[in-house]
Amino acid sequence: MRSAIAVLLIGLSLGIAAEAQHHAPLTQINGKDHPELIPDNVVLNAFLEVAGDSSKDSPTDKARRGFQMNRLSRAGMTDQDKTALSSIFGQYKIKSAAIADAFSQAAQATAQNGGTVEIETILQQQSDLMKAMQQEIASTLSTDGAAIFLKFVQQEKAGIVLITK
Amino acid sequence: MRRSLLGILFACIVMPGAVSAFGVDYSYTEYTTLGYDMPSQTLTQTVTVTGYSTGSCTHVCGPNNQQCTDPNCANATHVLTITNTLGAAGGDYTFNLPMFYNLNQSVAVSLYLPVGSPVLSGSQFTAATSRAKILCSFIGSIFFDTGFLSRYIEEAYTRFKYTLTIGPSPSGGVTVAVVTWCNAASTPPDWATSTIANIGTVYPFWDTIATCIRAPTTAPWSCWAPGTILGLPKIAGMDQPLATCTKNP
Repeated sequence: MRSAIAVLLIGLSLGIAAEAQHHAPLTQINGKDHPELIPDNVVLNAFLEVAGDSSKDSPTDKARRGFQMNRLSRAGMTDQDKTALSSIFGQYKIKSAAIADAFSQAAQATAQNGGTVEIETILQQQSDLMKAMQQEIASTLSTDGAAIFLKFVQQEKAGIVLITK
Repeated sequence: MRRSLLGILFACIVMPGAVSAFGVDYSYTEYTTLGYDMPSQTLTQTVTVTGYSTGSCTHVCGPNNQQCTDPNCANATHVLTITNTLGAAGGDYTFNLPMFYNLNQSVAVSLYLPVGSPVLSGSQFTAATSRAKILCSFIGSIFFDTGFLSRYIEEAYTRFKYTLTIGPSPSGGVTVAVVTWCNAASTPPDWATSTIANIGTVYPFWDTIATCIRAPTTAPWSCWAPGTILGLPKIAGMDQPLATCTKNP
């Protein structure tokens, strides 16, 4: 009897899990097939993570970030624009990390204490941050440099897979 | 013990609303870059995952319909696994996360591929994979991307002949117009272009190596601008011979 109840409970637990998992439909967008469905902000955020300097970087990390920035050279960006862009990335990466860390800590406390973890505020903050970074790039880089970066962002969408539920 | 188990069972059956209160929503971005760096002669593939999970571990419980937090949910862990391999380099990289989080995680793998190695001679390099998945201890696998399971990579060799100088390049040097200079068996080559930028010294011919990628094997190659550009002179006033360029249709 006890084992039968246990099996039944496990089954019900799996049912709860399945219910939670399928709370909303899952969508997957592959950027190489549908680049038009990948927002610029998504690419900006991802490239900022890859190319932006961090104070925690090892020499290997720095070399790899330099390699990412050199991809912009191949796209035709001047060293002067690249240096300016790297400086902007450094500033915005710190801000982006602060927003993410604050959310992670608050979210875990909410989960422990009961209640619903809300993402809307942080998404708005991150969206505002990326808009501000775009504006700073446009106003700091040369006209050609800003155009090259904009084109680069569009090309990078081919390397993005976006999954949302 | 039996009474408590029956009590839980009763709660699950009688109060289906308790089930619907649980919920995890998420959004993830997987971003893959690949490129060849000529100075260090390395091929580097970077896989980056950014995103978040959000939701609630609370459900209605008890005779007075109070809010209860499920500790199995609240204390659940997420394990992010990024698979990033280039031949024998790289592997699986795991990161432990709490139930709800906002993350930016990047893994780069580099493979030393000196010029002249088989891959740079035009053979297809088949063992490149990138993938990310997240396993939740509460609800199981919630993200499994199969979009970039494996790719084919080659370093495409192409010879070009100079035709005219177009003008200054934005980042220095000049941009020149070129035509491919490959023999009949390797025409059209996997990588071709009509212009080459950032040329310091104009030569009559150029040998180039570009990084190309495709999936599956029958798809057209997608190539980056060449990482290697070697200028060649004429030979006693004569054109360079037509080259055997890389061609893997």
